[in-house]
Amino acid sequence: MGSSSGPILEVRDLVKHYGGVRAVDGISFAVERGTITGLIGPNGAGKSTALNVIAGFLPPDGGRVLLDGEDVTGQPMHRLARQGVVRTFQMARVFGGLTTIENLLVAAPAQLGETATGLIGGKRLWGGQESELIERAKEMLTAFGMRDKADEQARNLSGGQKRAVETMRALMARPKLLLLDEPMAGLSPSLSKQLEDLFLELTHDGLSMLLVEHSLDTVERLCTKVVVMAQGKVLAEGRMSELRTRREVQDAYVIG
Amino acid sequence: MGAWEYYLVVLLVYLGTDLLAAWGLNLEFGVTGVANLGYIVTIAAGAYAYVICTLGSPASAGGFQEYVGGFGLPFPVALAAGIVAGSVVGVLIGVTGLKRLRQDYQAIAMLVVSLMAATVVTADTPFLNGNAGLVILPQFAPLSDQDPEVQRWVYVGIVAAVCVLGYLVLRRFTTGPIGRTLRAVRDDEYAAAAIGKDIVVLRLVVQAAGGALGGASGALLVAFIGGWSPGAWAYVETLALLTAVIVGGMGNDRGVSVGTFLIAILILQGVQFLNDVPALKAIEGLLNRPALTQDLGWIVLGTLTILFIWFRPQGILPERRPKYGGIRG
Ligand SMILES: Nc1ncnc2c1ncn2[C@@H]1O[C@H](COP(=O)(O)OP(=O)(O)O)[C@@H](O)[C@H]1O
Ligand SMILES: [Mg+2]
Repeated sequence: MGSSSGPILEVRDLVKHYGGVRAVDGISFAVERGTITGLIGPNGAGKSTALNVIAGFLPPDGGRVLLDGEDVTGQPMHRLARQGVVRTFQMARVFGGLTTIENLLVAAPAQLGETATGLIGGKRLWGGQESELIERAKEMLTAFGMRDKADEQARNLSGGQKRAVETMRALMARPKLLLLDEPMAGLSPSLSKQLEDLFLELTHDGLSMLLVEHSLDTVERLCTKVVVMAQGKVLAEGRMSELRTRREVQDAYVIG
Repeated sequence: MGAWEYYLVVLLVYLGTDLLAAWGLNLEFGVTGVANLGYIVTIAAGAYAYVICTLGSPASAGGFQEYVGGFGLPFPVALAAGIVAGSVVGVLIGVTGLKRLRQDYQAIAMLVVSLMAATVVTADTPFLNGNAGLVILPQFAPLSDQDPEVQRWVYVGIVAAVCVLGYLVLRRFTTGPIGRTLRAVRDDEYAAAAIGKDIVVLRLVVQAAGGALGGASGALLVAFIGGWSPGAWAYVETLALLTAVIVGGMGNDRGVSVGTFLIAILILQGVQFLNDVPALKAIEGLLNRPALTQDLGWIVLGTLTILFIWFRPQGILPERRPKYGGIRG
């Protein structure tokens, strides 16, 4: 592993094109350990694309991604996930045929029941771990006010509930860096507030986050640092309270 | 052994071998979402592997058919070889679908593999005797000192035992954490990758297991019917299994078993009896279509598939997930 003092994530000159569209056009920034960095900007600024490239969902056309100081550029998503980089999608993706609680359980890392020994040994081997996971999943469902939906098929949930399931699922994966693409969209105001508190609490336990979020108030409350993107480039970087007064940021939001 | 008793034995062996195959396809398609339209090739691989393992060298067998190998091995070893062959071919088919993650591309690639394999085996006579196929002589007799009637029932017992074993193996894959993970891969491969699941490895493992079931099915079938040729594994045979999976209930092992009984036995075997219906014979004559009743099975099958996809996509017995208690417990 790399140094534990530097930033957990460093993005250098990252580029991603879609044909002629420079969706991400050479962006650089860092996410410090145990903090939430906001990524904001008008629609089409390239926030989701940046997240997709960082998460290994899309291969970059240039630039580098460093995790803990180690080059992880272009590594596939599942390998990054195993190194603790877990992302959510802007359009919530749930496992529709599984129940809500199963959507959480499936995300737990290092499950014995998925290994060859677990397959041969059967429930005797993985039953204990499974019970612990079920308890953890139930606690999380309770915290998100979705305990009564545990056995509901995920495809039958509302849009907001699906998004909440995605966030819970990402947390069940025991990430060290969470990449969240508008996790509050479609959530009730009270659940959004709860989620904010939870995120802050998790950063105190050492979790780091890159948060794409529309609500500037949320960003101001959560993020120690904010990166503003527009037209594939980083426009400004700093604290939300400072950025609000900057001319180019205001312009980008009005124009975008 | 009366004609009916013999027919019952035939049906039971067909049922057993079809169940093994349908379970394998359900694991691949119903549970993991790999639309393996080339599944029949794993069955064929099992059958051919069994035949060339059990036969002696071509010369020693009288030289009336050409084939590679010819090892003169006993039944259990040849059966094991069939299972391994099915598994290996399953993985090879799986590899064709890896580059393109999208399911429709996968299905097409695998269908092409099925057609290509049949073409190669048909054209290359020295390989597996081409279109004429291979005949097993002498046929497998489980207890050689008993009379044929007892032999046949013993064979039914062997098929049943392999089915029980196959079902236990299947359940290891379709239940518990791994069954959950495979269904997650089926429902959304990207979301599964985002939580650390290695889609490629998981799919290949499933192809190996599903192929092993197909190989067992092919080996057990060929040992019973005593011969194997390209006509026995046309790509449409995969569609019959697919219908059993869809009608029975994708992802539900019991549902697929029911579906197999319905499709492979009641419908595909049942239509044979339509030959005895004079009115149908008359229609055949009128239309000058002597194979009409034979084709009727496929027509019914196709119609059923479409009706189920339209009106009951979850099948007769829908997939059921374990309950953990909504409020308490
Ligand atoms: N799959 C795609 N194919 C082509 N263009 C895309 C694709 N995804 C995004 N884009 C384009 O890339 C730019 C950035 O999009 P996106 O990253 O979704 O922005 P944001 O998340 O900031 O709203 C936009 O101009 C968008 O139209
Ligand atoms: Mg976006």
